[in-house]
Amino acid sequence: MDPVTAGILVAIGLIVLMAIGTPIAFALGGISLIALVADRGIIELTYFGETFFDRIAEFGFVAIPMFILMGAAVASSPTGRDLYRSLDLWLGKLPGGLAISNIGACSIFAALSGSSPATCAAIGKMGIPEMRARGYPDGVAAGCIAAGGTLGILIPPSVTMIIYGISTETSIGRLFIAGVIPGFMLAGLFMIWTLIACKLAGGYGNPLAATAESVKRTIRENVDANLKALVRVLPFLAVVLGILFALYGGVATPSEAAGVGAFLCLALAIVIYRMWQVGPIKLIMRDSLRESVMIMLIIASAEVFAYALSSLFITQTVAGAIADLEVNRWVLMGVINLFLLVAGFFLPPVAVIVMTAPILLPIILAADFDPYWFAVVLTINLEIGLITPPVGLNLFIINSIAPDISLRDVLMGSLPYALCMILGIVLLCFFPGLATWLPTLIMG
Amino acid sequence: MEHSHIHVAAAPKGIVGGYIRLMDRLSSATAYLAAMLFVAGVAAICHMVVVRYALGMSTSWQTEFTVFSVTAAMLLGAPYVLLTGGHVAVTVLPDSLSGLPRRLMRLTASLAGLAFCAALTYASWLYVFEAWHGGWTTGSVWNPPLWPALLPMALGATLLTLQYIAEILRGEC
Amino acid sequence: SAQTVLRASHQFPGGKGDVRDEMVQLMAKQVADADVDLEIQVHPGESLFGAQEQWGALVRGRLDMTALPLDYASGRHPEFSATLMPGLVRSHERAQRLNDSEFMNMIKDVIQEGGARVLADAWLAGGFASSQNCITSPDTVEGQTMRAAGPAFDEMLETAGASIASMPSSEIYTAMQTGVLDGANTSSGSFVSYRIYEQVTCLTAPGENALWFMYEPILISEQSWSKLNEEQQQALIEAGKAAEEYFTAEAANLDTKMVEVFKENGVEVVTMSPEDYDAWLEIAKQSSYKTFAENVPNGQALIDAALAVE
Ligand code: NA
Ligand code: NA
Repeated sequence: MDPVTAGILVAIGLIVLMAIGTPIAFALGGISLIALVADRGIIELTYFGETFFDRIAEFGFVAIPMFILMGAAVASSPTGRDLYRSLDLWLGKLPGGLAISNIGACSIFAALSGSSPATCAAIGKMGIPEMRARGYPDGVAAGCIAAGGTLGILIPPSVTMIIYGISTETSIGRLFIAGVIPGFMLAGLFMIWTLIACKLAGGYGNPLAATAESVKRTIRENVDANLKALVRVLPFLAVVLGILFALYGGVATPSEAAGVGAFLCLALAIVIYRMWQVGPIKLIMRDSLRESVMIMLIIASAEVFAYALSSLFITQTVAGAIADLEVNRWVLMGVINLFLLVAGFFLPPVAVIVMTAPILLPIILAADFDPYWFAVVLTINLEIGLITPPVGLNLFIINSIAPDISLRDVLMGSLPYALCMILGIVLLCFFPGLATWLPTLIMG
Repeated sequence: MEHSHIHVAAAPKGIVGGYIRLMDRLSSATAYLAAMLFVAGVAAICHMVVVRYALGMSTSWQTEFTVFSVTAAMLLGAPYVLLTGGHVAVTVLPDSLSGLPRRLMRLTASLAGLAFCAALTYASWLYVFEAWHGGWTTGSVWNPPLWPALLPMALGATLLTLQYIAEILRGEC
Repeated sequence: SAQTVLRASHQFPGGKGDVRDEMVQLMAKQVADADVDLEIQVHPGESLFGAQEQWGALVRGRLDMTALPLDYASGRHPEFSATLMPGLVRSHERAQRLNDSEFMNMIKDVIQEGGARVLADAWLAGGFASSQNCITSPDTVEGQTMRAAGPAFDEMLETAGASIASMPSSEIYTAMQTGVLDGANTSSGSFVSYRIYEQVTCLTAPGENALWFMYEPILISEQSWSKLNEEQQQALIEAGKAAEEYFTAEAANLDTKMVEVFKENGVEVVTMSPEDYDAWLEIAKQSSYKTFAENVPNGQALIDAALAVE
């Protein structure tokens, strides 16, 4: 079969399998298996175990569950609450201050966690009920947490940057550093939009100034407690800074850094928050196991899918066709962004990266784009996918935290943040230095 | 990802119900094993970091041990994640339907998932038996036999398949 | 008429002058020119199968051809460790003689039993580099943290008093930059392509007494081979010969190029003396050779056969 026909059939098969509700990992794996057996015979089924195992049993991938465990340890401790309280104390008086605190807390938590859904859940648990209680519109409450949570994979550490680094053989430490400035830039854009949204919705919620005198007094009395709370968060931040230092300095591999980070954050959670009972530890293990199993199975299947596409010569045909187009490089970048955006609607970030990075990177390099800059653009595209239906991992989290907010409110609240991210991509195109300046400064 | 309330529907009575309950217990018990292997991986990495960077001594087995224990944890955890509905799927279309079409669509999706898991089970056991029969090792400095590293994949895939059958019987997926 | 397409996979960069990629590309061109309805489709840089997956895929007939560092398959055929065994080869001239020896017949028998056959031989040389002091005699590695390329080298270096950190060759650069590694041991090609010269003060070039050689032949699956007609098989054999000749001419150039690049970057370049080589061989005999002989059924016979070559 010629690669073009094969490619179309595989795409249709995958869309049908996913649309009827087959879990993404099994849909990807199943369609790959069918394509391989149809193309090369039953032998591909017989030795499928080798392909499946050999591709995930890789030291680099170990970093992913480790960073997730690290995030879960921090999330199960009251770190999220502490962070949030401290920021609220300082920003609570501003109009829209609480919503801004939430985005701030999300970006700090993003630096503690490698995953977006974890960031979303850690801050959202506290943030959404609090914002609603203080009269913020449901859409703003849900949207700013959903969007703020996406920063988890842009601000280092980042599960998706690890996969990009492995797939494209680029430096993971450098990728992490490249995400820092764009991450805080996006956080800034989110904050600006939040203020505008509050104004449009006719309310900044009830800022502290407007709340009852008694509440203000309580909070004033709690200044001490809040400062202590901030002090409790600092050791976690120190661990993360240490990890980043070890990574960009090349002292340790990402997996080593992640393993030590997971151990230290678990130990800190136990010591600082006195979580030495079995209960909280069990919860940490359960949550991190659930998220990492889900992600790793998708990665394994996406790896097999990538092998199937290559085996059927679909990858090479598509890459060749794009290379032959000889269009303007910015038109090319636009097309790639559109493609990533659409892929992000349907697939979780990890799947998109495993499947597309090996095809896209040679094209990107041939068109003279910086691979680290592109990683940031790619990540922001996938962040958009986290808050768009039908598969938006952060939307699922919001739904589990606040099932009573209607999907329509959540989507309408999140949409403007998606536009902020598109604006972020545009800014990155005009000012590539946003992504490339810091890595060059630090790593040369 | 925080899911404080993980909901698993109660199983019906009778043999079918008994099978479902048995599978639920097996998958949950395997999740404990997976969590322990996960922690063992973290411990091995920390051990390696201490030995290599602090003591400046040779490291041999830790990298491989971590890879195999963490990979084992991921595959042994898969049945539990299926049990608790954690494998992400696009459910917009089936959710928008109702009655028989919805049931049929969900059943088709489940059968597709089941078929993949069954294929993986078959292929995994084959790999285990070949590695065991051939006396294959990993070819590293440590050079342990390969089959113990593969066995968790075969066990995980088997339980995943059996759990999938339980989910279909439960009428939940 | 319908073309038979053979899929060839390797782990090296494609189209960038890597000698192993060039060998496969040369074979593809030769076979196409032979006009025997045969095409070799090259998948470089692990774009089809990963480096570690290739042997398994080859012997099952999932993959037709590969340029493979044979030691990668030593988990399935422990005999293959002999093809990355310290001091067994010594020089490019001796590698040539080794190719037609009893030793290589024994190795090729194992390859054949495994389900593949050799189309072209290739022995790549390598050396040592260090940021501490020049590595010549065994006592020069004492106290250094080293990265070797395989279990046999690891064992020998450890016995000589080095401590070992295992990592892929792509990580050597940063590990040396940050002081995790003091020295490394890899192929001439990798030393240049990973710019190790920026991090070290001394290079031990292969010269006449090289410890490090690795066998990286071009293999074809026995299943794929048996499906070809005589004409096609003949074309492949001739293309293999051409690739081998190309490699023989290039092999020494890889070392020369490495020496040039390192010298240009101000790195001291030394070679091992026959005495150094003999001292290392003694250590290898007590460590890696001994382990190999103990763990591999005909291990001692393999080593004896290799050492017997003039
Ligand atoms: Na992060
Ligand atoms: Na989406």
